[in-house]
Amino acid sequence: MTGNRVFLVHGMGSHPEGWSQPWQQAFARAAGEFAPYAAGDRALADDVTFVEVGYDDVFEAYRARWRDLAGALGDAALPAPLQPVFAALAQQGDGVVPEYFWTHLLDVLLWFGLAQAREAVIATVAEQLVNGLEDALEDGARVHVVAHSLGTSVAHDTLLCLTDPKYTGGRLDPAAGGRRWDSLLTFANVSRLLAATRSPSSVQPASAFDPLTSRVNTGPNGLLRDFVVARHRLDPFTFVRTFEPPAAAGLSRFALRRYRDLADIHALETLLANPGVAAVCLRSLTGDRALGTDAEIAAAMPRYDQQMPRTDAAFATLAGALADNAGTSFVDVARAVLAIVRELDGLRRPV
Amino acid sequence: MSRARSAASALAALLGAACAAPDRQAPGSSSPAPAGPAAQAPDYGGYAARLLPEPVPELFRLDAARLRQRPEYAAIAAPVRELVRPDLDVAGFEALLGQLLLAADRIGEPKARAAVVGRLAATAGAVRLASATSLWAAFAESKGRLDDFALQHAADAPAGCRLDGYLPAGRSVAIPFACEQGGGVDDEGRPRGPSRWFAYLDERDAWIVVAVFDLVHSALEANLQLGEVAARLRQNRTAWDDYLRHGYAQYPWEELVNDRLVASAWDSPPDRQFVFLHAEPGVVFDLQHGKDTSLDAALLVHAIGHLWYFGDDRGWYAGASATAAITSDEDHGLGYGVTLHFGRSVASASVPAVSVGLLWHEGNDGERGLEMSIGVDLLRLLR
Repeated sequence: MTGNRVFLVHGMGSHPEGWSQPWQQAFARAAGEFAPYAAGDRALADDVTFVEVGYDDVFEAYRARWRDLAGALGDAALPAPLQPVFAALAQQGDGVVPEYFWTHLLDVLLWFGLAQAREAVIATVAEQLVNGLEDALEDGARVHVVAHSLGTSVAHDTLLCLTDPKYTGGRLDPAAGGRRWDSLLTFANVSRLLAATRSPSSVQPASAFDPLTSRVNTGPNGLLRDFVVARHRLDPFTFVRTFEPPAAAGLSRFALRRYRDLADIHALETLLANPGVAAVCLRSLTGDRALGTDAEIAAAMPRYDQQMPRTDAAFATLAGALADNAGTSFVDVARAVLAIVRELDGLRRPV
Repeated sequence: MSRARSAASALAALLGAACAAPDRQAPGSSSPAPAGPAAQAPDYGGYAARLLPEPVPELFRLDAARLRQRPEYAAIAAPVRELVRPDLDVAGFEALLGQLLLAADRIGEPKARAAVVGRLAATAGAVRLASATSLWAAFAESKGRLDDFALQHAADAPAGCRLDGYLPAGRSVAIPFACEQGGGVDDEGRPRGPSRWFAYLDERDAWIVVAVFDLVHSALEANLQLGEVAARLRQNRTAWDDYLRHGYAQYPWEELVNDRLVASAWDSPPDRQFVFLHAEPGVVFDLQHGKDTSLDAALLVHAIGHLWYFGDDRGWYAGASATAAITSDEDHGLGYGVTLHFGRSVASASVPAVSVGLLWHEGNDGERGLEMSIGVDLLRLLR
């Protein structure tokens, strides 16, 4: 086993085992730009072990239950007014409700709208993190979390909940003497947009879960040693209530402009392709604080510019309209949702 | 055992010395700040910054975990290797600290020596006074912090610098270790400019500081006893799974109702559930005219009800609801009454969830009386 254990927390949608291969390949590709990995005689896998963390089975349980219940009643002699309701619930493919509602947006709605779904997801992720942490500490490894999109909100809440003393007894709370997470790397961070309105903890109030003021930071009693927040300026998911924490030691913030295809603008791979972002992330993950010299980053930039040729402001109008706005008005939110729907339509088109 | 005794003696001898920690001048420990570029060197907390050559030596760029294989680290760790293990008790930890105090006393830089020796001694004293027997519990009870033994970012680093050090105190660190001045990347990932690396300790002292703190940190982490925590979190997850996936099924509107009305937290799954406008396939059997009638298929609608879950794993439930029954026979009339629900809510349950009701119906043909309803969670049986 390697000296670094990296837990990967996915975003919305279904993620069967092995889902993280593209992420792992993106990290390995990025590492290949820098010594000691550039020479080819050492691989990132020699220093870092990736571990998948999943929680979509919780959302899948909701989806399946609603569909099964509705399906079972489909043949029953239901009163006519009820039939369309159960038919809609039971649908499997595209119908009145687009399929991506079931496969993607429902995850977000459940996480944001149903406290019990949120709590169940946290319980699921907490168990996996602590299991993995136990293994990692047995090997004397450092422990990191990489999260994307919805996963950033999930990781944020879970790390906070793990400071609750009921089960962990302060072991994961630096203020109580416990350990910090060596790093949290977030891509397309939506934790502020999806912040809990009702506390998932029986100990901490809802206000403790505001990502801008929560203890998920690198401060004296913060839960992290390193914190990376990377987003794309044109990513509609981060338009509204953008997570922009104040500057702090150990915090690295990125807001990128370049992309290849709008359909990929929300993807972790698009953000990690940036050599500067990659260097900072790899410094945290490998424990080499000088990994990725200025010369190496500068040398990799032309490749990045070529790989991500567009800076076209497809969403610039909308982004600009929201840039000077806290994004709390209904109109702004509605406009952003429309942009997201358009974005999802783009995702559904074959590349 | 003899090693533990000698370590204890060393600890006792050093405890007193730690408090005073005289500013002893060690050979080679007070390297003056280099001339030239170091004139603007980011000195910190009374420590002079020393410009490092390129490439930056691994000691100052790598995390302690990656330095464990280096001979300099191994030389310091060798006498205590066997004391860094998962089953360490308080006495064993004291023995470890005693040995490390001997190593720390060889630090040449007086402030760093005083800080390291002082913290080790204070930790040993506090742990000894704690009433808990397990190492983690004693350490937590003594108000110790794992943070103290790991490299931390200093929030009060000189402008334009990223400075890491040991022994955090608020925004500061007591022992600055390494600092990168300039450099870094902007918010679009482009290099801001060249950087220079500085160190605050000479290599000999730095190896001792890194190894001593990492060994204490490793010993404490190895004794966090996370196995017990993981087991309880596993049970918590199972309870959530039993409630959401194997409990009495809920329609979306019931999910909303229960979400609002039933208290829960991530570490406290719901132990009750409301039933609200819950449609369920079933059969009704007329109790008073049983000789003439057979089972009638019916749609059972549980208008409102309440269930309780039992066990830490939420493995059983029982409850009651007010029910209406609609059969395909229009002359049968609407049935209404009370239904009892019970079931096993675990993945391996062979007993189906069953709802048994006693209803009153008044038929259009004048037939009236008691009837029994049985609703079965067919979904559970089919899975």
